Amino acid sequence: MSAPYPRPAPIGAHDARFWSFAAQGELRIQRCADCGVHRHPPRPLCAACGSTAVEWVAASGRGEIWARTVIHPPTLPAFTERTPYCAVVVRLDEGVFMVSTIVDRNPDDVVVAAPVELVLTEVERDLVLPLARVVDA
Amino acid sequence: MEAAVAGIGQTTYAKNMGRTELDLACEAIRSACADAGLDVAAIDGVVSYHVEQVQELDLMTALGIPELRYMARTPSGGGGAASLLGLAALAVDQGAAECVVAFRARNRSKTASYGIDPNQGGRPWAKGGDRLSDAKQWHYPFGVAAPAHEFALIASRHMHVYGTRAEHFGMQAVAQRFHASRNPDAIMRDPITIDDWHASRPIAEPLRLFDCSLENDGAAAVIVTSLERARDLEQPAVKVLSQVQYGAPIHVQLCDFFATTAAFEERDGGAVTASRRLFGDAGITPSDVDVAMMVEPFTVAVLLALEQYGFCERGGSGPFVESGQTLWPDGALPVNTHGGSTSEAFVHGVNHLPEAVRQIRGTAVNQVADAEVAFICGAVSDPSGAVLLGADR
Ligand SMILES: [Zn+2]
Repeated sequence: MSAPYPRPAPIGAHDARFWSFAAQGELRIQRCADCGVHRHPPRPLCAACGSTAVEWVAASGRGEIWARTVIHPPTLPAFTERTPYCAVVVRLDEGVFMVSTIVDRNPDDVVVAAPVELVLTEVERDLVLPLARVVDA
Repeated sequence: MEAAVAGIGQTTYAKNMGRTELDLACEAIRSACADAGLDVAAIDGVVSYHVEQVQELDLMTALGIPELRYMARTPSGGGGAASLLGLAALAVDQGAAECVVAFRARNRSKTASYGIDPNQGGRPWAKGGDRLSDAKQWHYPFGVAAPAHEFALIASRHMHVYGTRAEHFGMQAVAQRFHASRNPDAIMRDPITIDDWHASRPIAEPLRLFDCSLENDGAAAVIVTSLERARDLEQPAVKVLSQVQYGAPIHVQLCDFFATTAAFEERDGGAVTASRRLFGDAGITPSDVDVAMMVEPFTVAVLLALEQYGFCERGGSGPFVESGQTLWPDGALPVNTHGGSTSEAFVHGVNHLPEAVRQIRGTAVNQVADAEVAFICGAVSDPSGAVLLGADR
């Protein structure tokens, strides 16, 4: 059995909201209520206009692989048994970036620019993460 | 700018030396003072990294420095190597202090560690804890935990946008190992070929073992004073021609990095903008640079720096390295002539400072003929900076 995942334990309210939405099966991100710019990771104010008014909107979950690696020697104990594994940076259609892991493909078949979808997945009890699946054309 | 490097010092670089960081720092600083012909008590300013474990007060006590007039720290580990020198030069230029030491000491071998502070040694992911309250919460749950993983992701984007090949990173590793093979102070001195690079372990694709910086102990220091005073000291003065610092996104926050970096987009900012200030202030261009020290936690950082500082065109760093331009002695711009972080030692890039000074003094083991101008930059994947050094003739 794998070691447990390192868990998000945010001390900030903004970070905590992202994870509590995820725990409920909702992928939500911040959008400025004044100028409409999306942002992630969560921040207390909008860098584009300075507004602190924020909405938590449902993210499409759709995007493309912006960067990709295959990780060989284990570092985190939780990932020891699944090395090598494919980690990616995804650019969502909303224009924000998220780090994720590809779970449904052989790492060698995962390429930059491939369309992907982030799927909220309970990887262990009470830990829901947005994992990436390649979307076939 | 009226500042010059008067002295350089470094310890032995090795794994598991069993010495504290204070011990290492004191040796490097005393060595730099001796090189300059200065008494340690002449030091009146100290510059270090924000992650530095050796405190200014401990240096005063241990070295016998009677008075400090100036203390400053720069953000980011490898990003700040050149900025250490830049901050020291600014202090001297502005009259805040007369004799400033910039240093870094590390006891950070794989298993060695003198405490639980995340910056104090050991593997960062072994110290992250199981409950993530900071930026790690956006990386670690997805298995992205080591700097190698982050740089691999950055490298993959460069390959996608510009057609850079993985072995271009390897070619820089081979060049730096050749440099180190002639440097008795280097930890890794056995030459390697590109076939050896291909045969080395993949760490995080596209990066292989030979693309990675070393893990070792050691310290390095430089002493900066006024040009006038430096001319009266033991060594030929090495002028600080200009310095820049800049904020830029960092590899440990990849979501922000990819949203704002100037590394792949036709975007200003970071080193791209800073480079114009650096060369503008010195009144020279990148083509006037004879030798460069580019801090590289991983070899890909050299390629990114070559482009962002304007030594080659955007996307042109792979072919630039492939054509041998960064290899001493025949390249147009030998880079990391001491072997760099992948082959000489990893001291968060501060070992690159003494090498740039040696090149201008004419005393490097891989001496670039008639070197007049040396360029130093911190890792471009971080908030960072750069310095131009010039000969006093
Ligand atoms: Zn706004």
